[in-house]
Amino acid sequence: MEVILETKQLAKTFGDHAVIQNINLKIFKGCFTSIIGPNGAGKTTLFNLLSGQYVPTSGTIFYKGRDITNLSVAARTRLGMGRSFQLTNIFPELTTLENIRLACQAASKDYYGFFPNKKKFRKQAEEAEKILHDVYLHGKEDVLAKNLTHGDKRKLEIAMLLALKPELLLLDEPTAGISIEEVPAILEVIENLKNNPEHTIILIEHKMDMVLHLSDEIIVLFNGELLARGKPNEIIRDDRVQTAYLGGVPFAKSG
Amino acid sequence: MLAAKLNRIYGYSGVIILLLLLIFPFTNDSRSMLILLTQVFIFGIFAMSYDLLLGYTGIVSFGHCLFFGIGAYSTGLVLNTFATSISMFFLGICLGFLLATVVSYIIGMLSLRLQSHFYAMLTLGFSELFLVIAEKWRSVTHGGDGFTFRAPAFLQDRLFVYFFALASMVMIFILLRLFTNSSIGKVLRAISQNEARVQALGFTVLHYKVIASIVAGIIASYSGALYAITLRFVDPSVFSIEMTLDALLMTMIGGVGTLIGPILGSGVVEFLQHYLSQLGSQFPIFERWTLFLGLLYIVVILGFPKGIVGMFQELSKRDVKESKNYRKSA
Ligand SMILES: Nc1ncnc2c1ncn2[C@@H]1O[C@H](COP(=O)(O)OP(=O)(O)OP(=O)(O)O)[C@@H](O)[C@H]1O
Ligand SMILES: [Mg+2]
Repeated sequence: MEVILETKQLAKTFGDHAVIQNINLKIFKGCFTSIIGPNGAGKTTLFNLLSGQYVPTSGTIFYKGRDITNLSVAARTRLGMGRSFQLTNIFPELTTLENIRLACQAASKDYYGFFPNKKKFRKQAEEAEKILHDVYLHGKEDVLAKNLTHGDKRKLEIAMLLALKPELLLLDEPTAGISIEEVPAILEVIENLKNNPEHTIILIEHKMDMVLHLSDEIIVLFNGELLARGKPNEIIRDDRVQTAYLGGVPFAKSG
Repeated sequence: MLAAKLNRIYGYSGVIILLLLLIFPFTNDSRSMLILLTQVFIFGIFAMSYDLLLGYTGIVSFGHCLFFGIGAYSTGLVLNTFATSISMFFLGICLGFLLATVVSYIIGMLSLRLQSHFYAMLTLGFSELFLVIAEKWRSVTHGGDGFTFRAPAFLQDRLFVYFFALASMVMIFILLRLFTNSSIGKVLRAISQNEARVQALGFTVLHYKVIASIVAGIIASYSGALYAITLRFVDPSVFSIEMTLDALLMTMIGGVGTLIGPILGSGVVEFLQHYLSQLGSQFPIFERWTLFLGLLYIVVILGFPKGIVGMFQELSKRDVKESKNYRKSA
């Protein structure tokens, strides 16, 4: 299988707090990988390193065989890496549709037009409209993003990622802070993402039932170190995971 | 649809005001009013350029006068040094554009990748530097007293200058409107709301901010050139902090991020300055008219943070809500 993302001895320290320690990862194309680990394990920090928000203290990152360690966030996005954020990260004063259209604009490489191009914008808006349906946000296109419910904001977050048409999707707790009733809709969106063979997905998630259901492979992060990796049934049975991550409690923690 | 109807009403009022401004000089031969309105147009252009930074991109500048001054000096010096002709007038404007581009590019590349206050500080620093150069480099700039120069014949006619400034303002308003609705403009608006997210969408944010800085610099320099032409005189006050504060005040009063707001703001501030300083001959307190502008500024910031245009927008939104019609015509 083809490796799409690889890290070598990746490390990040804040002051003298080693948040990520010498992580060696290989992510295979088309695979659905989940990252689990207790709060503060360094999951989001690992994403921030992968997508370029943070510069690693040491180590290298390869995307499709290319060293991207020193590339900017924008450059990585343009290479086909996209991510959603744990803390909702949208444009509050723009409408839902305009939030997504902007992502479509980026995807169609419509970067530096000095004058309005109605035709292009209409095409982008049509595309955005489709994505809006895919994440069950139809009817909300003209609502300002700041006025959406929390669950809808999470959907918008995913919609903007989708609009970028990335090959590698990093999803940081898409169900964070969401009410139980809203989880199935998000789960369905993620399942649809998974069904597209072009997509390689890395998911950070606390809801174990979801992780076990979706993942081809699970990575366990603990204190910034890679504690274990394997198929869902292997991870469940792993003693180190049982003691370190769950402290003896069976997979029940969520949220 | 009420919102659309209201927008149409605003559009019509704009056209009517424009028509009134077009026939105004033929119905009224007050010279001072003609000059005052010309000033309103020129500062309207200047304030629009400030709005592009502050309102659309969320960049604060403390030294926007820098570009105004560059435009004023370039035009003044070229006309003073070389022949007094139309081609020299355009050469002066082009020189202003060139300098404004270079300076705003340098400042932008140096500071716009850092936190936002670096741009504010650096523009302030550069404007102070240019102020000192204008005062001390006497052989070129004629020092602190400034210099007068002859304008090409057609620009000596007050009436022509009035129409020229009005046409410039309308043209620049239209161009900026197109620009702010372009691909770049949409990204600029997004940057003002959530810069990190724009970057994560794959846009190189720095490029956009530098473009905004250059466009604003060029337009400010154009307004400076017009300013110099109307006075046929330039002195270092064009680089003074008051110029920047005027632009800030006009933009805030009119409404940030609206383009039409800064024009209205320019009208309010220029007329207030005019009448307050006139009142000053009767009531000495009004000689301190800057005091009143300062008070006005505080009132606006505290009471009407969205300015005149913002207030009207709130009104139309309320109407829309009352009509229970949330779908806005895009
Ligand atoms: N910018 C930063 N500066 C200093 N410390 C940081 C920074 N970002 C993260 N940390 C620290 O790194 C540790 C890991 O944080 P991170 O957000 O990666 O955890 P996480 O695994 O995503 O946790 P959660 O499940 O709660 O989202 C935490 O102790 C956090 O305080
Ligand atoms: Mg996290």
